[in-house]
Amino acid sequence: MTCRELGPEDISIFSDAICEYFETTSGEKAQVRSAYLLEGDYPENWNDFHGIIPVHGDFTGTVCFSAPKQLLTHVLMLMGDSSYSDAAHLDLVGEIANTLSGRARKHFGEMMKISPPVAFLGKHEKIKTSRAGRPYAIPFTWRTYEAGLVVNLCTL
Amino acid sequence: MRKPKASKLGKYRDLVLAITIFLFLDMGVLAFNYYTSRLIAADTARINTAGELRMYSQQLAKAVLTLNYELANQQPTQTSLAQISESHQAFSEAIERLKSGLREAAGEGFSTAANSEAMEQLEELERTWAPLGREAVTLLGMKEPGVNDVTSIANLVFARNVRLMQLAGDLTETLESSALERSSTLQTIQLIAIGLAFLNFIFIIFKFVRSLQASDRIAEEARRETTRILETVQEGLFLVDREGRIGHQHSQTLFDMLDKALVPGDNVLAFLMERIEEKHRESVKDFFDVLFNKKVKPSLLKQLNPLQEIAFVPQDGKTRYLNFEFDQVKSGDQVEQLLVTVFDVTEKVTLARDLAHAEQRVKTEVDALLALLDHDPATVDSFLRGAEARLASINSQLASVRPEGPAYRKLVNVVARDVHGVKGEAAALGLRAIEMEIHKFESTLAPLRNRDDLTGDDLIPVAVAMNDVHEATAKVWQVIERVQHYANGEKRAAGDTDSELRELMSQIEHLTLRIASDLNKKAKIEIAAPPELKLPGSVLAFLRTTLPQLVRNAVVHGIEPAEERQRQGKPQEGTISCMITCDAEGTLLISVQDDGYGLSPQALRQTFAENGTLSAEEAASLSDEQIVAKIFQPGFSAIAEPGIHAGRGDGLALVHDMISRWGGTLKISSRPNTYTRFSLQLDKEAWQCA
Repeated sequence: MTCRELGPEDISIFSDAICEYFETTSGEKAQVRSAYLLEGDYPENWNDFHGIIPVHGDFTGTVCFSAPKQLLTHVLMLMGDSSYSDAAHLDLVGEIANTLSGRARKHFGEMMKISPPVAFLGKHEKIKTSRAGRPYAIPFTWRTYEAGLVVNLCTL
Repeated sequence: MRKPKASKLGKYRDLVLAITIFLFLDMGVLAFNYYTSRLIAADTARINTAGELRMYSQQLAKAVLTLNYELANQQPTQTSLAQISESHQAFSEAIERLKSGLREAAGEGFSTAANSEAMEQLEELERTWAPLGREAVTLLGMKEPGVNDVTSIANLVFARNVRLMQLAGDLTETLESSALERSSTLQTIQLIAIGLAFLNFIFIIFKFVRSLQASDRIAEEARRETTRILETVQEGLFLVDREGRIGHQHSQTLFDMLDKALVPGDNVLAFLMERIEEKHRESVKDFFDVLFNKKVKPSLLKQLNPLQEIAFVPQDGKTRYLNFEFDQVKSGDQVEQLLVTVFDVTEKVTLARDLAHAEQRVKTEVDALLALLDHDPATVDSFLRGAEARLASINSQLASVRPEGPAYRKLVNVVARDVHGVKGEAAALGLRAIEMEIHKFESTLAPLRNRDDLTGDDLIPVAVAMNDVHEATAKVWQVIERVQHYANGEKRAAGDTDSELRELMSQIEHLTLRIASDLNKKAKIEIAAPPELKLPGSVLAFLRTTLPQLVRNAVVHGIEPAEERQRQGKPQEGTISCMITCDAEGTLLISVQDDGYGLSPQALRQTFAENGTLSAEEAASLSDEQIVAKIFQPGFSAIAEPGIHAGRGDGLALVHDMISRWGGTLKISSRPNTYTRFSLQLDKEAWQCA
């Protein structure tokens, strides 16, 4: 078992994946606005739609992407979708979570075992913090919208 | 004993010998053919010569008659005389040649009956010829022979020509017969020689094929063994040639260890350059330059080898730590190849790092503890709260920063100033761990300061560094909590017996597992006590003394080794049940039961007799109850040699002593190979009034 701590390069894997996803699908890259430690249950400006990847292995925890409905609707529109139902929005955050999952798999290899992404709507899921470290919250801006990423991983 | 000297030809000796014989036979057949052809030529020459004798005799007769006629008619005689001379000479020479030829044939070992007969016929022919020859010489010696001179030779010619021709014919037949006979013998010899050569050839083929098959079998077996070794060996094994190419034979684990995309023929140095950290690349290159140097000794190679516990990043991204060992494979005095052995030492390196990490953590905690003890708690508390407040403030600013370069720059400078203040306070208090983390934090901030092109991405390392400082302060808080917990311990002992009982149970559980582990046994303990049971401190002290002894006894003497339990059809893991209950009458019941050997009086008798605790006679004279009761007497143990966990015979004696002092009762019940249970009972008055 490796004991390496989660470094900036590990976290950047997720933020880069989000930025590039938006660039690929919309032609406009999302920008990381900042990075900070999550104090409460949710980051500020926590949104409605969430794509979450549960992780275990040498790192354990979750990586969660959250976006407001308007942002997702805009992306769906750019992608040529005509359905703007909640299901379509959930599919989209699920797809973004899938992208995160693929990047993580490539970067961490066997160190990280990733369960299938889960997409959900609403704020009922709290970010569970652990004693080993606080989750990292990374807000993004894309056009006029703001989305968020929470990397809540700790080493065993 | 002297070893037989190995032939230079080795396994090919027989084959070479057979081929040599084959060649000799072939050469012999060729030589014999040559010799045979010579004999046949000689035979043919003799047969021809014998045939010529008939012709010469006829010529002579004709020439004599012609001469006679020419003299009678007074015609010129030169031609006739010349023919007589030629015939005479040819006949005489033919006889000489035949004689010589027959003698040669006899001298060459072909003195057959036919040859002798031919010799006799030739002698007779010579005798018949001799008068005729002499007359011819006389005639040829005359200057001008007359009719009368020719008459006598003519008469001889008439008288002997037919005989001569008959003899010559017989001689020819005899020579032909002799030649045929000899030819037949030679053919037989030739056939035998060819037959032998053929047999020898068959032998060679047979031997060669068998030898090849045997070699193939050995080679196949060797190949199979090599494959098995390469499939089984855990290390990565492969050969590298002078061009750095990986050989085709390699252990199965090699490419799992290095990279599945790697194939034989790939350049190992180029591959390593892509997979190891940049700081090692130059030294690895230099090392590869000396690997094929025949003058470099193996011990020096080991010293120079930089590929030890080297971080290796394969395509799957999971860093491994590998050791590479190189052995030169020499041919003559040249290094032809390298045998490379790769060991995966990730676990070892990781464990070493874990250990170093744990040591560092302990050191940090000890440092923190020492630092705390040196200072007024209120000062430390104030510092920690202040530091956390400043970190919270920084975090808040990170969360709300505007996404603009100047705002980022301003924030980084504010953060740097704030944390520097915290660092100074931590240093003053001797909180080195916090000081060091903030120092690292400042190192992270340094390259960001005064940059106008900062983006949100640049704040990710800032957040990570801040988290590390948070963790460092959290550790100091933990140390403080422990100290406080320790300081409050006495208060708890005075009042909180519930938690004391829980702690005791926990200690008993750990003790059980530790003893089982030390004795290489598998055991678990089930502890049960009703939550409503309130025990006074004196009873807890009683339990603290007795329970460890009973549990220790159960693990050491009761639970069998896992293998034995398996043989008996029991679960490998033994179970010890520890129960503390109170019955309706208020009697406190404490029992410790194991599912092991059970108590056997007979086995105890034997053990006590063998370890000298009792004499054989004493042991035999005691009843079952008496012998079992001995286990509660000091110095009686069922183990010959005392160990750390048992063997001195004091444990159960102590339990017995305690229960006696409390006025309680102690019972044992047991069933061989099923269980042993020790039950302690304390009456309500005894334990509630204690």
